[in-house]
Amino acid sequence: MTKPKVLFVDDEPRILDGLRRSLRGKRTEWDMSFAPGGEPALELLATAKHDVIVSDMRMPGMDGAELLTRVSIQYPEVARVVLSGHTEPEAAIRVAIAGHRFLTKPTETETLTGVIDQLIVKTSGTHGSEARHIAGTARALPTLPGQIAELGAALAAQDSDPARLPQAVSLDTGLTAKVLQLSNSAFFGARPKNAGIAAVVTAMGVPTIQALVSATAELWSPTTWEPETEAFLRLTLRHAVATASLVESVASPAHRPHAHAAALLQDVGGLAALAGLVGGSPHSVDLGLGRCEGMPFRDVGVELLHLWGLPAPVTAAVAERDLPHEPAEAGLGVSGAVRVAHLLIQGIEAGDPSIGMHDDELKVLLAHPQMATRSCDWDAAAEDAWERAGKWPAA
Amino acid sequence: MAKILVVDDDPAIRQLLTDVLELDGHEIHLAVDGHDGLRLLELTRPDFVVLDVMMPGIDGYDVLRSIRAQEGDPLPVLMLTASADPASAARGWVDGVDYYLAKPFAPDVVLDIVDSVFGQRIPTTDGTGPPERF
Repeated sequence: MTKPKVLFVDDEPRILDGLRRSLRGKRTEWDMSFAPGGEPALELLATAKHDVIVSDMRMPGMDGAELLTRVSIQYPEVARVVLSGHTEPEAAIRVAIAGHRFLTKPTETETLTGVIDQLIVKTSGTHGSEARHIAGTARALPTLPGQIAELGAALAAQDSDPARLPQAVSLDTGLTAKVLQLSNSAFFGARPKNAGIAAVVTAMGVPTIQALVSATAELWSPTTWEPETEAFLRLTLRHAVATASLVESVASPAHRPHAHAAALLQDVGGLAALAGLVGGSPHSVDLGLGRCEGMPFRDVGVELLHLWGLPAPVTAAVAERDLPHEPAEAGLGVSGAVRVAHLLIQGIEAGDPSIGMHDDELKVLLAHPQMATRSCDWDAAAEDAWERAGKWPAA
Repeated sequence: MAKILVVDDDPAIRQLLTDVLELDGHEIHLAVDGHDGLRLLELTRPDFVVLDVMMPGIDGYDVLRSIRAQEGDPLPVLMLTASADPASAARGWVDGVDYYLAKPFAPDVVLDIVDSVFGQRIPTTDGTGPPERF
């Protein structure tokens, strides 16, 4: 078996020497190469298939953001890690869109090797490389025009109505994913543990959110969707928003932040495939079957969440959404709560909650003490969540 | 790994949980009753709480209420009860526990719960065996 290939890029020879020395122990596991800048890095990538690239940000000529953007287009299957010291805010946002993981210098060797080891693993055993390739093309998720308008309005109302921005971000699938991805990093303000989106938005600060919204809008504004594609996007996002809203009542207090995020991101694979489609990628996408290059959207989505390094319970809940859930006596956890909310919303979408494909499973889930002890009409709650999601985005 | 506070007046349970959780690399703090639990919550700022229901003085529900009244990110709480007792389980769910176990319980179940909250398991999408663990 060939060893995974890892490429390190930095314009300072001293830093590359330091990496070579501190990573000597990994020589038996990884095949490592070192490039003194963006151009030589691209030359190396052209000669052999790599698994992970670790790049500095500030380099003369081609900077890290430009390099990783090019890698995302030419070699999307290569996982993209930023390892950098101080970064100008403008460049930080550019690399926030292009990168997968963000580490600040100095970083403990174990942290760096831990991240690289994680990224070498692919989540799909059967479609590993294809899922990685398609997931790797996604830099941001597609949005409906009204979403950007809603975020813009929330940003403009920041002084008079500060609660509106976290609320708007917490309903926006692409921005929620990006904010959770970045919040792991000291680059963008460290994340409070197990935090909800509101806390993360506050920690990151309004200017960063503003910049992310602009960057996302720039990626998507020229797009006019085909009617069929827009209908798919609308339905996918309505399901996501309705499930996220319902799961706030289903999940136990400590699981709410992760369950909310997982519900919002449950169809991220389809969104990523759509992003590739609009971005001109050659992949064949079947929206009706939910497949990209013959592979289920879910495989693409889970691989993307893994690349982005989202909290493990979030990725696990997305991976398990379509699997029949046998509730543990001790509690539903994040995955169980997301599954319950998803099935309830699916019942409403089907038109009649009493005829569902998963009736027996849902009955068992609703009889679990976590659900049954709270006197709640779950079908009515699902109906309400679905109706409210239909009014979103307001614009 | 996680910082875990165990609040239980039964020394055997405290010992059992310390043994299994420390072996998995977690940092354990022990409180002998509800009063001690509230003190250690403040002092140690844990990531996860294992909480017995029936304790003299301040009971598990009282401690849970103070935990849920705290500002900031909700703390995961696993509640324990002396025997299979549907009434106290029901009250626990209404009051906002995240997990509920009746004694006696298999220590592995507690490990699995803690691991699902803090573990870095990479999920797989092809259903071939257990995911890799880091």
